[in-house]
Amino acid sequence: MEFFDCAVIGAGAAGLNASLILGRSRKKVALFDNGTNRNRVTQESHGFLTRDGIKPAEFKEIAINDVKKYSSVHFYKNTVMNITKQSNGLFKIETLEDVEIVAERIILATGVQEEFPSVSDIKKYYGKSLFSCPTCDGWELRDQPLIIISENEEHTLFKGKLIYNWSKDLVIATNGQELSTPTLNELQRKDITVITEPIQNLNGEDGYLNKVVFSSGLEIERAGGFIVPIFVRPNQFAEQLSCQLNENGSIVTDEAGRTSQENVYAAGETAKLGQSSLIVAAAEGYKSAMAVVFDSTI
Amino acid sequence: MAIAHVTTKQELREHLETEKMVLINFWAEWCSPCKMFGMVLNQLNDECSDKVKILRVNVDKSPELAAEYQVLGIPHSRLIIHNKLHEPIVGYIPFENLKQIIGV
Repeated sequence: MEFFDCAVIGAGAAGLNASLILGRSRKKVALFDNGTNRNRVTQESHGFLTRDGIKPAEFKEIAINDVKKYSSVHFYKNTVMNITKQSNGLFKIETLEDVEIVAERIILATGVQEEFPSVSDIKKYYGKSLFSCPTCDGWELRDQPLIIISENEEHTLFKGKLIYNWSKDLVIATNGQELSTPTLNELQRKDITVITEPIQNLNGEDGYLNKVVFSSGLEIERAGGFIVPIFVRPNQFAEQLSCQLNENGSIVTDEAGRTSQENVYAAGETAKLGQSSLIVAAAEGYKSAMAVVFDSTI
Repeated sequence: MAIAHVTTKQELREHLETEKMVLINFWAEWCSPCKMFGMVLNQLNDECSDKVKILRVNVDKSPELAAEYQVLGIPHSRLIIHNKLHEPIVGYIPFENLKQIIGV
């Protein structure tokens, strides 16, 4: 079975930047990519200095070409199924396609996926006119009539107040969930309309929203907006490797991405179990790779 | 008995009224290990449906159920015996190992 200094699971910004630094540090790396990057439905990525507005596919292509300059990084277009720590301390990695390798260290960089509010066709609009991250996509929606679809009161209030930075023409749709009086009062103070009745359907063209229809027949015109998804890891590698988790489900790590399990590191969205920006995920990948290099030196 | 696909709390409650042990599996279309584990569950159902009732919950269709069971990653499964919830069974598990874990 082929041996690697480090296996990087996931080829988003975190995994690719980790692989770049490991390659430049002359480490033998197995980089696993099954092409399920969360931003694959997004038209443009924002906020990465020198790459503002880049298409995610183009970003990934440039990143892969950067990494390919370092021949010690080996690409596997495979889905990892299992990671097990063997009695000799090395990690065995098995893929859906029956590839098996062993590695001394692991960087978990598999990102997260979204569970959407239960509104039909919501995925058609996601990434084009409905988004989850105002810091990433708020600028394009500035001053427009927006909807915030949120079924969770805790997030509703914060998201409402946050998105107010980009547009003051806001409607919050809770899709059938009631909100408490203090929350309603606070939203009312900002003149944010709340509609608690269920959403019947979304109308628009080619992913661009123009109308939201509610169960009573009420229709409102909206140009776009934000949804509050629940994030879930696309695997249970952290649990399988007995990495300690925080109460909110994020993986306990130090600043460099070291988990509670020796030689297991986590970077990017999978570590925080929430959304991140491309540049932050990339930086976390960089830091975890530095930790791998340092830890294998001393 | 066929594997049941559950979307609401009410449906789940009805399925839990059984003498058999119940294995709930949380999954999604975009999760390849979930699909592979689905084949393991089919095999388990073919061989052991007299002892274990298998329920599947699509986390995209039932985020509320996934949240209730604190599903942070998938595939994720829970065994319920006489309404007692056991520790999570995490990730993809090969057939023989799964049988051993649930004791059938």
